[in-house]
Amino acid sequence: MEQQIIYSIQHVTKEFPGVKALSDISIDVRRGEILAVVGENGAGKSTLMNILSGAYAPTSGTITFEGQELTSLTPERAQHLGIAMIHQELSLSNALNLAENIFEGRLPKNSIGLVDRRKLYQESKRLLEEVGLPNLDPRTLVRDINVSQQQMVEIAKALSLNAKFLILDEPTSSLTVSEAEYLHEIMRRLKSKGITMLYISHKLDEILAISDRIVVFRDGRLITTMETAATQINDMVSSMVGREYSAGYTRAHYKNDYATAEPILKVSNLNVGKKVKNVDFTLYKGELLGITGLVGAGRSEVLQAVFGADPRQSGEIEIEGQKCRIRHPSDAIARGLALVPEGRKLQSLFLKFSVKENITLVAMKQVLNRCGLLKPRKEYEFADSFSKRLRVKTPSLDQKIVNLSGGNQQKAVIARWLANQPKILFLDEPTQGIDIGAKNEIYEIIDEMIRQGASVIMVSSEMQETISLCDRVLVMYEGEISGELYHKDATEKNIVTLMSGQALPVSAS
Amino acid sequence: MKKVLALLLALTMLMGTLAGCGSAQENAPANDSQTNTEDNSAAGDTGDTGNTGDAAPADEIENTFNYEAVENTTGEEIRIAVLTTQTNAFWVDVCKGTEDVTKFLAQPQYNCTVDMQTFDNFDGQAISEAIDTCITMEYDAICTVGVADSIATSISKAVAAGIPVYLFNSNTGVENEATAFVGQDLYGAGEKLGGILADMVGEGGKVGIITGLYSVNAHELRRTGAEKALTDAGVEIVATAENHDSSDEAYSLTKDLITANPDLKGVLVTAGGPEGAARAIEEAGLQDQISLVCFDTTAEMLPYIREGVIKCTLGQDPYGQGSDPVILAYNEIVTGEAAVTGDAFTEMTEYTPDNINEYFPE
Amino acid sequence: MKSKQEFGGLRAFTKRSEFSVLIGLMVIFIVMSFASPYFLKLNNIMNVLQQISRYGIISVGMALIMITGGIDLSVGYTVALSACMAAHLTTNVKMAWPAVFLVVLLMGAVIGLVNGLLVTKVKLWPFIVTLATSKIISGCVLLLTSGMPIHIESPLCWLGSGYVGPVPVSVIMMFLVIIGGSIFASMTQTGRNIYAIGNNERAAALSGIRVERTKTLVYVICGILCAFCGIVVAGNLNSADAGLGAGYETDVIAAVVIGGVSMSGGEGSIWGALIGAMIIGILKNAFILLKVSSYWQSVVIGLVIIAAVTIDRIRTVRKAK
Repeated sequence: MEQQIIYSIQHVTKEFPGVKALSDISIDVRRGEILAVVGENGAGKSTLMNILSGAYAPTSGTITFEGQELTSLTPERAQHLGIAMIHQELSLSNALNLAENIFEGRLPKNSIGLVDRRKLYQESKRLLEEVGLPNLDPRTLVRDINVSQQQMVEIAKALSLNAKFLILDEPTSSLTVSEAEYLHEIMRRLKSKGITMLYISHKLDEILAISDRIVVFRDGRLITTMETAATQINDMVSSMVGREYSAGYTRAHYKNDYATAEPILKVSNLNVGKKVKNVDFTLYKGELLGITGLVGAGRSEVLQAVFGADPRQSGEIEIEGQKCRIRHPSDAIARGLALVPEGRKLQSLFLKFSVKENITLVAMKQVLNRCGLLKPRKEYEFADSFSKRLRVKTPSLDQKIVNLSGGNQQKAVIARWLANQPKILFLDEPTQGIDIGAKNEIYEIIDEMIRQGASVIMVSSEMQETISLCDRVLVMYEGEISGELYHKDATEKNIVTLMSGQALPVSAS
Repeated sequence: MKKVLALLLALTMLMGTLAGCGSAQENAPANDSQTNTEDNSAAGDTGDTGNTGDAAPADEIENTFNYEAVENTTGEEIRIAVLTTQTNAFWVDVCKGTEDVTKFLAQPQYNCTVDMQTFDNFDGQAISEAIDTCITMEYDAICTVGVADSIATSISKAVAAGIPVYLFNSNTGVENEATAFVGQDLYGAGEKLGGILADMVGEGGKVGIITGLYSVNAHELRRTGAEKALTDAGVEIVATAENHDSSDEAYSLTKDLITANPDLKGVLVTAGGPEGAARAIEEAGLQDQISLVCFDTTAEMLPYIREGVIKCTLGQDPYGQGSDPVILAYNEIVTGEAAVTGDAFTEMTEYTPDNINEYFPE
Repeated sequence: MKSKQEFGGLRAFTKRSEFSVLIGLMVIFIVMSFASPYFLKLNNIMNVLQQISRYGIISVGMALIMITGGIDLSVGYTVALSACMAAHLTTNVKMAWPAVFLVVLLMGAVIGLVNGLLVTKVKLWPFIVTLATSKIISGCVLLLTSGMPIHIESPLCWLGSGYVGPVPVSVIMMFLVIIGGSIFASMTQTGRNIYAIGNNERAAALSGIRVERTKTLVYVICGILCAFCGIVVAGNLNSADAGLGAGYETDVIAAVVIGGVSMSGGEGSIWGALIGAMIIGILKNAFILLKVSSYWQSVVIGLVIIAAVTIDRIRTVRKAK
């Protein structure tokens, strides 16, 4: 069968002041295929997506959609043509409900021209069921559901647009394995209807599972195009990083002296509304404890409640054997806690601040003089040292952080907390939306922190990450802890079992 | 860079416009005096007032004011600043007085420029600042409305800098160093009007007083004068309220007065907006029961005077207020002596439905 | 990739929003020097600076509030109440001037506290809250003064009408407040927190910042500055009446916005607010010097605000791309 080219870009270059984001890219996307785009952060993937969806105009080169050359493409026009983009950074309106977001700008009207609410909710409910959220009321407000669920709604929105060409930018970054699989099923369904999809992801195993072809970017250039059937993960990674690469991250040493281990944090009887019920757990000194579970299991809520960021109905907290009253993050910080929240755009980035200011905010006391005034040089050096330690890629520390790539932004946020020398670090989805290279760097950083005596709790939805990093894993299901696994028992099978609320088989080894 | 240029351009255009506005005003009087010079010399040559050929105004401008102006023997141009308010129709007459005296003094024998600056409210601070700026601009004299006590300090500064100040229409409550006040004998006017109303209403009758602003000294003097006359005559003052010179507020207040006091016999308005009170009385059909008295004769009030809804109004010669202080100031500059000091009260004409058409023929 | 030390470089300076406003100020200055022979007289410059000092002092407080994303519409009436209270306490109650000073500032702080608590604890919109409190305060002024002006003679008047050499004391006060405010905003932890809150309130809370306390603090600061300004104004005119402070909020907000503080919060500087105040002050001076009628004044000020905000918008949108 003759393969039709639906979207073709030829010799496209995109330059920003001081940065060449794309150099001479030429790609022909075949109709009905799922084309994966991989590359480290800063490689140019997002820029490419923005050009294809009309958000940016290429500095030079041509783009042709369905045989028609597109000049001065805008997102609106792209949408008309049938090009839909699902962003990594969600673009839902917090104050509106799910239905209004899905049908934003296209609310169904009745004969007099008023919004037909019944139809709106009916249609929305149907779409929500299609993306695996049958229990969500379409009238729920976006800000009342968590990040993962929001992403599903984004996909429902795109589905409602019946696009011909779908661009998915890291769609599964907040999803668990099973939800990702469900998304892939939907994608296969769409493919059978002839819809073409562009899939950007860092999850290389997913790419192997779902895509037909793969293009690899590095430093703004298209390195190679591969047929998925003939590709292995190491091939992809080697092209991405430009050097030989071996899979998996292993730590030098996993904690196994639990018999004599000293608890550093003890949480009892934690209750947060309906999200967290009677949770007890202990964190040992020098431990990397993972908390995992399905979306909505209550993992983030546990961390935020202990940190004092959200009110809780009950819960005692003991740090190093002493009872603590934590009513506000400042209490937690004073006790040596730190929290890197999920959803950095909403919860941790100060977009109008520079990189330097983002890093020094919490530990600012260390760069003030005796009168409480800032020492600019000291602030610069302080931020510089942490920025270098975490290898934050930025042209200058005074660069506004909004201009950095996601991975580097996250590193800056981690730097902010490291600078305060915490005893206990909470990480909530620390590598969400970050490329392999940066991920590994972050794993190393975490590992080093443990070696230096910190204790870490990491909430993660990535199975591989949880299995390979954690000394111990707590699995949550529907607000409760459904099980605990030591590193040696933390297999995918066991974790998935506990995640779904099932008990482990008796002979678990 | 583009944004910087855009801002530059916008602001330059803006300032150019302002400069243009300002100079346009400056140019006008200059032209007039030039024309006059030519015409006067022409008149001189032929020995009579008739012109030979060119169409030109020729005639000297008439002195329609209450004082004569001396010839300018200083050999220099004299500059006078006038700061006036324009809160309602009353001020139209005042400004007309100022405009006429400006043209008059622009003639070559007087060689005087008068710059009028208007303000849209009784803001003491703004006028105080304006006086300061006038001092900087080295005016020879300043004429201003005495809007509030807060301008007293600036008046002292002006006098200390050798610039005489004349107040008109309103005087400050505190003592000030202005040379003279040209305006109504406000307390006396209040007393007079109060007496007139007391005669109409009779002992034991009920009246309401609507005053402009408690913070304006002029209004307060009238009010307290009226109050005294009324109380002395045994009239009952049922209510006093502020209408801020607004006819709409006067309308609402009068309606409320009538509602609260169905046997109301009189209303006295101390400042602007009495036509609002007249309208309320007329709407209620009570013009025979209620006597409305007030001050001034604006265009809006005239119909009500003619119809007899307003029974009496006292004039304060707004035209004179706008022009006399300027002439007095001018004279003081030229002669070095103030011919008039202290209070220079303006005429207080009584306008009634009977005589109104003599002054303001329909 | 080499990292350059760029803090305070000339290049960085020109990119800031304050730079374009500074250019605007210089343009107006230059044009005015040609348009009127009186503009550059020392006398006039000092007058203008003194007139600016009124909203210059308050604009520090307003800038801090707006950086957190709030707004304060009650500044004008707070100034009036403070001026009248100072005059009342001095003239009628015959309190000693140090006590008057403290009491009036305390009153300003309390007004700010009320505003702040209503915004943070009761969680009402600042616009509505301060609009409402401004009405209450204006009523209080009338209750206090019965609409009559109050005369004031006191050593405190030196703040408003005193001179140090050719320079009015109020101008010196204004610069002190601006310098203090600027140091506070850019060089202290609390100042940094204020910007953080305006940037991303949730992230600020998660970073340990006591958001409610800090937001209340900026309203208190503004209240105190308004009270101080009230004393200055009363001292300048030797009189206080209910009409003072009318329309201050418009001028102050305009100055702050022109100077680069964004209505959405999180950015802007105190010096920018000063430049904005200077632009407005010089424009008002221009009106008198060039004899422009008062009707045009409002039109022009409005246009300047629109121009400044539009340019701010363009700059923000450009940054986002």
